[in-house]
Amino acid sequence: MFFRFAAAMALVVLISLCGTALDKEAFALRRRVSQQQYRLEMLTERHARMRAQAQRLGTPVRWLNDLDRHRGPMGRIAQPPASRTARTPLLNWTAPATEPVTR
Amino acid sequence: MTASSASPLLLRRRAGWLVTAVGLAWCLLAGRLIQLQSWQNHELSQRANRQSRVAEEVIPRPGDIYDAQGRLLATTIRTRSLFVVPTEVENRWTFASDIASALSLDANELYARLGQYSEKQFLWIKRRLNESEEERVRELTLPPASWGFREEYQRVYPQGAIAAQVLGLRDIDGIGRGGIEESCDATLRGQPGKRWLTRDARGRVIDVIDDPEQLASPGSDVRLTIDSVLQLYTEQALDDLVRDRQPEACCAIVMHPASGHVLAMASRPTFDPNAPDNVPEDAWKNRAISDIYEPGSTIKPIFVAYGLDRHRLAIDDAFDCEWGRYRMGKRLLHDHHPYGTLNLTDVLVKSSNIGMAKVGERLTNEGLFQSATLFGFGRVTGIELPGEQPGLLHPLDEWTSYSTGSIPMGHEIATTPLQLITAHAVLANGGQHARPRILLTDDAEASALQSLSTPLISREVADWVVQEPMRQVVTRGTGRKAQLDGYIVFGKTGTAQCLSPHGGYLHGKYISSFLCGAPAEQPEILVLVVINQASGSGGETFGGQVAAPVAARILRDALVHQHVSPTVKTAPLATRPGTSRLR
Repeated sequence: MFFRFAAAMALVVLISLCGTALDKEAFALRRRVSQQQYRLEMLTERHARMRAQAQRLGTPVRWLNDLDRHRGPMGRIAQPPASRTARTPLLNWTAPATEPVTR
Repeated sequence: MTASSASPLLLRRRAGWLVTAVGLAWCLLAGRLIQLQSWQNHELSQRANRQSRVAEEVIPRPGDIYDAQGRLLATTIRTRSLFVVPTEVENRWTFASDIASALSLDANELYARLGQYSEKQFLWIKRRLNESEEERVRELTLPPASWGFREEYQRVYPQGAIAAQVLGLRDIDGIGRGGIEESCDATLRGQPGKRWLTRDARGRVIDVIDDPEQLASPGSDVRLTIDSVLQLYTEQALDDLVRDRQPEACCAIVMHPASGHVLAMASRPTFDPNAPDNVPEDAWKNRAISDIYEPGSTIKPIFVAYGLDRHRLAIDDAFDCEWGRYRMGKRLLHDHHPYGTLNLTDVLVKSSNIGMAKVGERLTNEGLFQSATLFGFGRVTGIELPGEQPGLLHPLDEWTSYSTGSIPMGHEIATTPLQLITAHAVLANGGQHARPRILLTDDAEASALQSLSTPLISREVADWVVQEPMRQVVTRGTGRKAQLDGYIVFGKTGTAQCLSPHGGYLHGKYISSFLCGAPAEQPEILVLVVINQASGSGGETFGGQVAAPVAARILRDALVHQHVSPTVKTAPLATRPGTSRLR
């Protein structure tokens, strides 16, 4: 009689413990999901801020005037010279032939 | 013996009473449980939920706005706003002065507000704090029950003040106001969701569950036809114009005529959407779609093209311009310069009002009205922006004999700048109408729709008007200041007196405009600049003097930016083979 009762109680306690453990696990999983969602939101937010900052730094307002300063006449932009001799201007020191070369 | 014999009986009786009592107690307990679980279950569950669960609206993140090249024009970041619970504030003055010092607010005003709303559970103190303000508030270590932060979305515009009127604003409550923010609000705003917060007995949130039936969905992104670089060129040109000539207002539109895509649209005065508190009152207006004005001479090519297409005119027609004075009924018309006989091209090149009045007599009022309605005057173009005005085109039965002379020279009719450039885009696009668009959508669908539409006028007429009179306006007419090296530019100047809000005209006040495009053989870019009451050096007001240089500068920058090759051919164009049919 006692053993039957004890076995029944043990079964009940075991089931309760299992239920508690499952519940705990479910809560832990939900907490992790919640944390992941929070992280996702934080990352989305950081992404939005960094993208806005990158766009702000790369906005044409900042670089267009500098670019324009180096822009040549329009004709040259669309029709670049067909042949370009790869010469470094600094080394092009040949003196005019009309002048005597003195050393 | 008696005791030992009575004892079991007594014990049994007592045990019986105990069992009965326990049984009754169990029955009562079971009955109560059944009552709670069966009859009162619903009511009690609801009460428990009311006490522990709170529904919260999840505001979706609004969608972003991009330009045609994918540059970010508007995006959203999250900020914190400070609120207090006035009923929980104990020492009101200390509380107010602490917060005021942290947030640079007026302590007396805050104290007064706290007193005014002392019975309330919620009061905004300052919205959209920056990070340092947020930190300073945290360092105050105020009583936790008396204050809190609430997260909100804030719209930021990374490109700065460009295209401000086109973009509009998203107000502090996240509602689009003006521009694309308003017209595409439903797309950009997204779908709000709902979630349930479970609180413990002390009110702390212990669980958050999203409502699966009402999940928040973020707003969709929107892409515009605007090109930020072109927009910036346009805005810089207008800024220089404002600096040099101090006009009352001005605006410019850059359009691709074949697709109707608006590549740039700018107005002055303007504002910085990142500082919405400092917006001048008249800066909100997108003048390119909401200002109506008499277009003056810029409309003349439209009527000429219609007359040619309907065979009421021929390109070799000659018009006696009466040496600058022509009596039309009771009215005496003048030209700015006296001319004798002019051919149709020269009527446009010299912008002769008398010549155009005679064109009007050929077309008659009915023809002029049909022409104006055909090219879209008097009704909105349908661009995806709020606040577009339909212009002003009186019903035909209100037209008089004055109208026959006035309408062809661009009076008695009022248009928006967008209507005018859209009408000219028909000429530049070989007679085909393209609805102006600022939202970049599926190009295949748009081109399919366009291919189904009937041309408003024949291609040869449209090409002739663009490549002959309008080109000669720039080479030898009123628009010579719009000439560009390497490109064949066409254009038309316009100068009209300002309309008075009380009727009639404002004396000495003019609206100067210039419309131009290039290359004339196959126009890729159209530019319209409209300047309201220019002043400054020389006091010039003619469109060819004031607006043409600005329009030409924008056109040049646009052509280079769009990689349109310069046209080496600068000699006058030969008449196309089919053009002879017009004679």
